[in-house]
Amino acid sequence: MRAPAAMAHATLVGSDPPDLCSPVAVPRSLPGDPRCATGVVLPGVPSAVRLTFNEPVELVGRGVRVLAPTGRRVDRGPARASGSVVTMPLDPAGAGTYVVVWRVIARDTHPSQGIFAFSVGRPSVPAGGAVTAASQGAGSISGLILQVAARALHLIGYALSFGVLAFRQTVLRSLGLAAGADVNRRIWRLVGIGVLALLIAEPLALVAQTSSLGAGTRGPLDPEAIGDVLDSSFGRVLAQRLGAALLLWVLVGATGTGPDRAVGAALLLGVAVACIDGQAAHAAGARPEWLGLGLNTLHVAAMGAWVGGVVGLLGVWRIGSLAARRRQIAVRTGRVAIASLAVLAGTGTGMAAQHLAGISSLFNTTYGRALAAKLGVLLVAAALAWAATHAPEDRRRAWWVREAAALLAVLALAGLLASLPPPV
Amino acid sequence: MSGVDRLLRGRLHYGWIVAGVTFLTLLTAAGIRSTPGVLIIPLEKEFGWTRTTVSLAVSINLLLYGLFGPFAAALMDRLGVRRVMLASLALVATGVGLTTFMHTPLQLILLWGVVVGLGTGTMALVLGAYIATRWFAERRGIVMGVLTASVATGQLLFLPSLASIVVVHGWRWAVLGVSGAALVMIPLVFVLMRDDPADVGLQPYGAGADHVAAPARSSVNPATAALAGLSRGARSRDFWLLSGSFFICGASTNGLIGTHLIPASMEHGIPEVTAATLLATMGVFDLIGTLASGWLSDRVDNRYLLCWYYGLRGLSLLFLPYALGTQFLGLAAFAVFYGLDWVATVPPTVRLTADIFGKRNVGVVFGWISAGHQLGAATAAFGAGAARVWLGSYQVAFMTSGLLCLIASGLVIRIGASRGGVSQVSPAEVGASI
Repeated sequence: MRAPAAMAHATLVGSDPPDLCSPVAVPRSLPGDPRCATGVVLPGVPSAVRLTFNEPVELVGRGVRVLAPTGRRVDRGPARASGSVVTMPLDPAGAGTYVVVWRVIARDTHPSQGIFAFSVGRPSVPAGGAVTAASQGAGSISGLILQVAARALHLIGYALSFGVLAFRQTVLRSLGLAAGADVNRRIWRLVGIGVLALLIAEPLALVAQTSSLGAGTRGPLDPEAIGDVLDSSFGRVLAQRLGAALLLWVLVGATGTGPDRAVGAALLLGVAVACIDGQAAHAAGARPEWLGLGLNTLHVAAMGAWVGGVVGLLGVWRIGSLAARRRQIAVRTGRVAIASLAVLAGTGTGMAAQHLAGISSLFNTTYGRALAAKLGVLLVAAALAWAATHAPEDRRRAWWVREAAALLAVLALAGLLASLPPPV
Repeated sequence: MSGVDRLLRGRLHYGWIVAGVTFLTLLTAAGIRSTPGVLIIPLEKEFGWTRTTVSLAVSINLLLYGLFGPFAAALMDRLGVRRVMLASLALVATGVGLTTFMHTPLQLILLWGVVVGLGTGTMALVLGAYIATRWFAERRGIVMGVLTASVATGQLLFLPSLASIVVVHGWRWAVLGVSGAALVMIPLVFVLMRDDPADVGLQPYGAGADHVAAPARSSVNPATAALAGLSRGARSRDFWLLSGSFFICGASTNGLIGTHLIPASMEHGIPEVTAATLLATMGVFDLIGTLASGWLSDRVDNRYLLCWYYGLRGLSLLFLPYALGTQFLGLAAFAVFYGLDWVATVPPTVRLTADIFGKRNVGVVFGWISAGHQLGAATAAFGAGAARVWLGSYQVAFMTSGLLCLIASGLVIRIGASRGGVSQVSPAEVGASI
């Protein structure tokens, strides 16, 4: 199935020689158009290939590769990226069809790639097989699925670690219940699982990125592609997220001799991680940028507090020594959840205003439809939480499990949302 | 005789002269070991060698220097300090001098890697500890501190001078200068150095009348003593946590920054002498940092100290790719921060080793933990060079190193967890094994 060109964030809006395969660049061309396979026919080899994108981009690795009809690479030296224009000088080679493969990432580290052809003198069979419109965005679907999985896993890990710690501080500690041995054992086990999820999410994100940049490489695990990606701004954000997960692991180790200060430091770290997430999210491209990052940080933190609260509540519900205080724990967790919902609604509306062109975008763009789905499932989760408060006490746990499942679906949709290009 | 009596009589205890000669020797050896950092790019330009090849030579140097450590003390017991120092200085001067004639990578690896690595292996912290213990019964701490500082600072302080010689006169003159410094030390050591206070008819500085002198020559096989210490340590979980964290320490200091910061800065458009000055600034701040760390390690839980040091170091390394982009201000901040941390990890690690293994065993066990340090340095020196050749920039090397430091931070905070905590043993307790 051919992935629509809109999957890529930075799109090629023009090139010299022109890309005859892209419906964006040349609106009238159709997939399977014979002109796409061999491109324009030029009298001589151009001195350079110039690519113009719709936004400023950064190169991945060498950025642009140009293959001669013989299969030899004729791109000379590093490509130059200034703003949204990328220029790659070429060495002259013979007549025939040349293939151009480009890989870039946008400012928010989202990957884009493409492949097109042009001919010199006369068309020929390009090395490595025909270039058709179908090969545009090849690998994007698997790359998209991996991106969604990586982001969702990161959010789950965030909620299980920072969110559960927030639950410990805001609910358990204020009730004086944070010191018990069995309570602590469950809390730290949940945090440990969260750290593990945070750590696993990063290699997954790396493979997602190389998979999404799949044109012209030997698959997502191609060492050259991995090296190029690690060397880019995406690599720096990856290292920061791994660093934050490791710091949390350090703080978990430090809790033996002074839990509350270490947990306080961990919560500050949680806010920092929410901020780092903003770098690799659409917030980085929003205007004004500080508002976008701020809204994103609050949104992620509030998500962590709610999901972590539910998970923490389920974790300690069955502990015998707390049986008498259950109602109080549930009530406090509910208050945290309501506050989180309010923050989520406010920040969510703000971010939607920044990224959607209008209410109609909710229905006629992929991004808008995903956002509408996420909103719907969120309302379901809130309804389940409300139902739990009115259920008899021995049935509440089942309602909370359903609420947690709904929240998990919300996180998956959040991952999808972060991987799709916004209309604005 | 008390120190005051001696001063009143106008005579300085010979131990201070011995300490002074040792100080100069360690400074020279440290300066020699720091030279490869300024040579990497000139050698690449002249011979066309790859970063990987030159990094391999540096890596072998660091490895042999470290692995020799546990055996060096035993060798000094067997042959006498003076003889060992003279032989090492001669070996190093010859090896370094011969590099001006080399023209194949194998010669580089043999000379800088093997010869200089082994030669400087005896002129390391272990020599300082040996002299401090043999010649001083009082004031050992200060002597040890000053000698440690000379090793650490010597690696960084000479870099600007070496770099400017390389830029103005060429790398061969810098190398000859370094070889000449080693040659100058030979007559100094020959005339002034003595193995033992008894050789000049003295007791160790501050020793009381009941002092019993250690035997002038030992009969214990150095290899056996060293390996016995290793097997004792290897059975302990805390030994592996300390060695692992110290491995990462070596990787992030000597291995990565000490070897590759100058080439990395030059690739970002910073001139060689400026980059060398940056490292020298780290050397200055390192003095302050180590003194402060020594003072702190007497008062605070050493695991927390190490946790903070490695954590801050890891964050600085994650920040370094950005700093190299902003040219000066970010790099200056990095240099200050990193410099304070450079050798600061040594006092708490030594302290923890003493607390866990007992004062009697510190020498050999710490010798092996230090060998781990140099193993890490060797791995990072080679690994960063290879990564640079494969990827085209140092970003991945810096990021990986930063993440490793954060792992080290998590490792050290878990020391003693299996035994319910580490008790603070005061240095006065002798032979107390926990």
